[in-house]
Formats: sequence, structure tokens, C-alpha cells
Amino acid sequence: MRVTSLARWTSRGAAAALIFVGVAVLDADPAATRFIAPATRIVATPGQPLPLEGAALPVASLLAVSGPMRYGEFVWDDSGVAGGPLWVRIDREAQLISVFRGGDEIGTAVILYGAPDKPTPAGRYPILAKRRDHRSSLYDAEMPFTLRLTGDGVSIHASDVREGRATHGCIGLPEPFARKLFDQAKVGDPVVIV
Amino acid sequence: MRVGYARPPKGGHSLVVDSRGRARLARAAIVSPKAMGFAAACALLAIAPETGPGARLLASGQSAVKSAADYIRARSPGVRQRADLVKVKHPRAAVRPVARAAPRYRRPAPRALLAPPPPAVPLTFDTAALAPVYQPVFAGPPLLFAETPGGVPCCFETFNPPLTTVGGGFTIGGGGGGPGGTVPTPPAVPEPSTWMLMILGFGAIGVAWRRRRALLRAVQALPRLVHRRMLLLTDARD
Repeated sequence: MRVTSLARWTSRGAAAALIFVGVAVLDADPAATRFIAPATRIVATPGQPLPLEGAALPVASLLAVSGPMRYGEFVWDDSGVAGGPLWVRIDREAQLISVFRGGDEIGTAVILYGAPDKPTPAGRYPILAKRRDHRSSLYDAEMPFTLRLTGDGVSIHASDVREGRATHGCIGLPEPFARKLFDQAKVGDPVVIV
Repeated sequence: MRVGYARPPKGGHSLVVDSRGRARLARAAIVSPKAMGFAAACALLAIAPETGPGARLLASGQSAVKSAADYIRARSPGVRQRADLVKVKHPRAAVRPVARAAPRYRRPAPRALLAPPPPAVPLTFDTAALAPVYQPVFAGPPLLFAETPGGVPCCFETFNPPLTTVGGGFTIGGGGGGPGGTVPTPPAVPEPSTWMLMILGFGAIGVAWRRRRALLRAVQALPRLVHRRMLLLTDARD
């Protein structure tokens, strides 16, 4: 009798603990779960350099991301990275942004880019202006953490990054990543779009 | 059929025994089959390094040196298959009526120059024909016309109406002048209401002047504010 009641209470306690942990996991910030901590860096050596076309500075190290990223995911790791000028490389075909400080990559994320009839132009652009709480008058939409690139409105801003989406020419980033980039970037920092 | 065979010296004869135990004498090749295969592979690489299987081998050898773009591409979610535009405007937003600005005032176009007017045609009336028709009609009793009495003074000596009704009930008079026939001269000091009106008018002019000067000063300060980044002029398009 005593043994069965002990087993019963043990099973009840285990179920309660499982529910508690499950709720805690589900209740967590979805943006936090999207963050992937990189294991290591891919470091360029004299024997094996990391050439990159159109780079503002020679690449010293890259974030080692295990496997393809999913939509809305990003990596940000600037631990142990020395200071340097910030620059950004955007690969439209691969749908990726890479943020470099000096020669070291400190962040990468999956992006949205312009639709075929409203393409994102390739080239090298300095950041013209920063606006934290921007509201587009043309599209009547909130565009937080806007970094303006061209005079006719092409910008980098936070948006809902999902599969199959396309923008009207801007670069859409996951919002936590856009916030980090906005905090680091200065007016005049170069952005290379390939 | 399996063939067990002992490795012969190159170029010599050897005894080959098959699985059924039958033995035969065979001449060994000068070049071993493995060497032949290696040579063939080398020849293939040398002959067709761009199209044949050698190309793949070469490519795999070259991919040992990866560029940074290759590493970045390896983490890509893939090439975009669909491109659905992000819906930024709410569908109901289009239903909202658009407020249009009032039409701009345009100065009326200058009129075309008119042709010179035709020369005046002298009008002639046949007074003899008009006269019998003209009959003044009055509803009241018949009017009696008489000369005004000589003693009635009037300020306008040149326009003294000769018509005065007698017992008609109304008078067509030349206006009542002041007694004694003198025009009252305005006083040298204006009346208080006139003073007030003049002061008000000058005050209004002064207020308008001050407002205009303040507006001018603000407009002239605009470029300086923009230069000091105290005012941002942006075209918020996105």
C-alpha cells in the first residue's frame, strides 16, 4: 500500500515537472530561440586565405555556422573581436547578410530582398541615415531600425523574415538582428550588395 | 567462375588453376592490370580534363581552396523560389477617401483685344410721335400743379423743383437744407469716434508689420537651422 502510493506520487511529481519545463520552453522568447551560438570561427591563415570579392577589408575570420540557416535565424558573436571599421556584405542570391568588424565577421542572418519587379540594386553604398522608429510614408508601414542606403529609399530595416517573401527593394532583417546592427552601425559605414 | 592465380613474374609463364581444379598455363602480361588501369586514368585526365570524369576529379581537387563566399553560401537557406511581396498596406486603406487639395488659384487669362467699337450712330427720336402717348397716371386725386411760393427758401437755387403737390399727400422736394441756408462746417477737432477709428487703423497696420517681420525672420533662419542639424528636412519615402 505504501509502495504504490509512493510510486503514484512520484509519477505525479514527474508529470508536473515535465509540464513546468514544457511551459517554460514554450513561453520563452521566440527571438531568443532563433539565435544560434556558433561553435568556432573559420580563421584565415597564410596558407589558406579567405578571399572575398568586393570586400571592404580582407577577411580574417568567418563565423562557423553548422549547416544552412532557416528563415528568421541569425548569429551574432563579437566576443574576442578587436575593434575596427564596420562594414556589411549582403548576398542576395544566398539571402544572407554578413556584418564584419574589421576583417572579422561578427554577425550573419537570413534576409529578404527585393522582388523581381522591384529589385534591390547591387553595388557599394554608404549608410546615409539612421532612423530607429521609422514609418514609411510610401508604404504606410512601420520600418524600425532603418539604415538608409540610397536617396530613393532603399534601406536595411527590420521585417518579418519568412520563406517566399520579397520586399519592395529594401533589405529585411530579423528584428533582434536589426537592433544589434543599428546599434553598431554609423552613418557612412559601407554596405556591399552582391 | 573464379580463377585463383599465383602472381607470375612479369613477362614469364605461370600456372593458373581455376576453381574446379583444372590447371592451365598462361602467359603473364608485361604490364600488370593495375598499372594499366592507372595509366588509363592518367591518360583520361590528360586527354579530357574539361568534359570527362577527370573534370569532376579536378574540380574536387580545386575545391580544397574555398573562398569566404563559399563558406557564406554554405549556410544559405537556398535560392528563393517564390517572391510574394510583403503586404504593407492594409486592404482597407485603399477604401479611405482621398483628400484632395483645393484647386490652385489661377490668374484669369488676359482677354483678347477687342475690335474697336463701331462708330456711334446718332439716335434720333421723333418727339412729336412720343408726346401724345406719354400720359402720367396717378392713382390719387388729380394733381394740381402750381408754382412754389416765393418765400420758401432752398439751399440749391439752381435745382428748385417746380413741382409741388397741393393736397396730394406727398412732396417731391429738393431736400431740406439747414435753416438760414448755411452749410455746417466740420469742427476743427475730430470727434472721439473718428479718433478711435484712426488709432485702430494705425494699430492694425503695426500688428501686420510686426507679424510680417517675425515671419521673415523665421524663414531667413531656416537654412541656418538645417545647417546646424536643428531642423531636418527629409523626404520620407521608403
